[in-house]
Amino acid sequence: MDEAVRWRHAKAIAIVQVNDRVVLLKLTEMTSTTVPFALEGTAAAVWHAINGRRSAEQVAAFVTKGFDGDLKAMVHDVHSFLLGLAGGGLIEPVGAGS
Amino acid sequence: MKSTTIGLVESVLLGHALVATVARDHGIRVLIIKGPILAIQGLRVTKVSADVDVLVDPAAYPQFLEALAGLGWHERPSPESPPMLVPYHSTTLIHDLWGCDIDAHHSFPGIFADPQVAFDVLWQRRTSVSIAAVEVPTSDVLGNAVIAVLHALRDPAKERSREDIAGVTETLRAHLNENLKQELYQLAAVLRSLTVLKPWFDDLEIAVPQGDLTPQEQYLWDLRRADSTRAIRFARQLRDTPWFRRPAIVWRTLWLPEFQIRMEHPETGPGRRGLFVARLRRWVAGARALPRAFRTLATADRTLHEDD
Repeated sequence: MDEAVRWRHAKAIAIVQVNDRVVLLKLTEMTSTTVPFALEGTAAAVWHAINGRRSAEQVAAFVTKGFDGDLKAMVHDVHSFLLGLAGGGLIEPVGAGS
Repeated sequence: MKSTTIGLVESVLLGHALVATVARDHGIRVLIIKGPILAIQGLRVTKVSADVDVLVDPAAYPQFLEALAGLGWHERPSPESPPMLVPYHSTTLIHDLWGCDIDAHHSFPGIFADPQVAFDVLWQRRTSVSIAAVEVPTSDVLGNAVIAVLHALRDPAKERSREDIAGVTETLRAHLNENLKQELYQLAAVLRSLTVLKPWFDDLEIAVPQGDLTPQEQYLWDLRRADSTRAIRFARQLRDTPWFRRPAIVWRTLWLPEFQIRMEHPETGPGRRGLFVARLRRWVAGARALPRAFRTLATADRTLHEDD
């Protein structure tokens, strides 16, 4: 999927935040293998950066603000991660389902 | 970026969201009770809960269990043990991939009204609170206060029970006027919990002029209170067994197989040492609880027969 796509959190998600962890549960299309999914550290920061207005590049830039590093590589990692979250139904591209 | 294991607190909170969602999706009326709800409604300080407690519309109870079974939740296998003396009021559900239980109630101990009547009364008082970013249905503060105190009164000597009753009492006292007292009394009356709640009502200076339990119900409540210790079950089994079979019962109870010990006491440590420590603790706890269990049994029996 295009890296310019903007992402937002899916609607039917239960969220628990304990310290710097974010634990998510998808509440649609549940099956016997539906279990909570925890994000920590950078993964949690990425989750918080997703606001429906940011693309993978903007999310990566937001998360790495103030850090030196290879933004291009980071964008790639973030994009892969976002696709993983989307595959799990935890986020969706803006424009989907609205 | 990686996912990690899920803690108990997180599992329980998300379990609330799961239960509320499953019930809503299947059109089943449920009220989440106890646990984090009490802290949210200001009825106690935040404590770690090990399970999700839910009161289910009795008419839809089988459908609710079925809906959760479809998601992999199944009844916790119970070790072979003497039958419960009092009817089961709930089913404990577990999931192989989740770290918490769901305790699905079709009735609640201490409420002697018909379970359907009781549920409907509490349902009329329903509200919702946000847990894990999901609105979950529950009773209002008064309904949950009554449930919390009923639960604590099953074992009022326990420190946690005393704290729970004190927390609820403190919260209600801040708003307690004659109208609220009247409302509380009426709620207890329709739930047929006046007798059970009398010790608490005495503390709140709410008069209970007349008890509302039959001798049989009083007997069941006395057993229910004691049954939570397991010792009463053992005491009653011993009492009801011919003397020549008693040594075998004692032996079996003292030397439960390892799988049974570990099932009843999940906190048991690994290996033979862990098993030994668990057995030792069990014996000590049993030795302490038995005298009270026999006394409770005798008192309950006496009460029942006096009223015959």
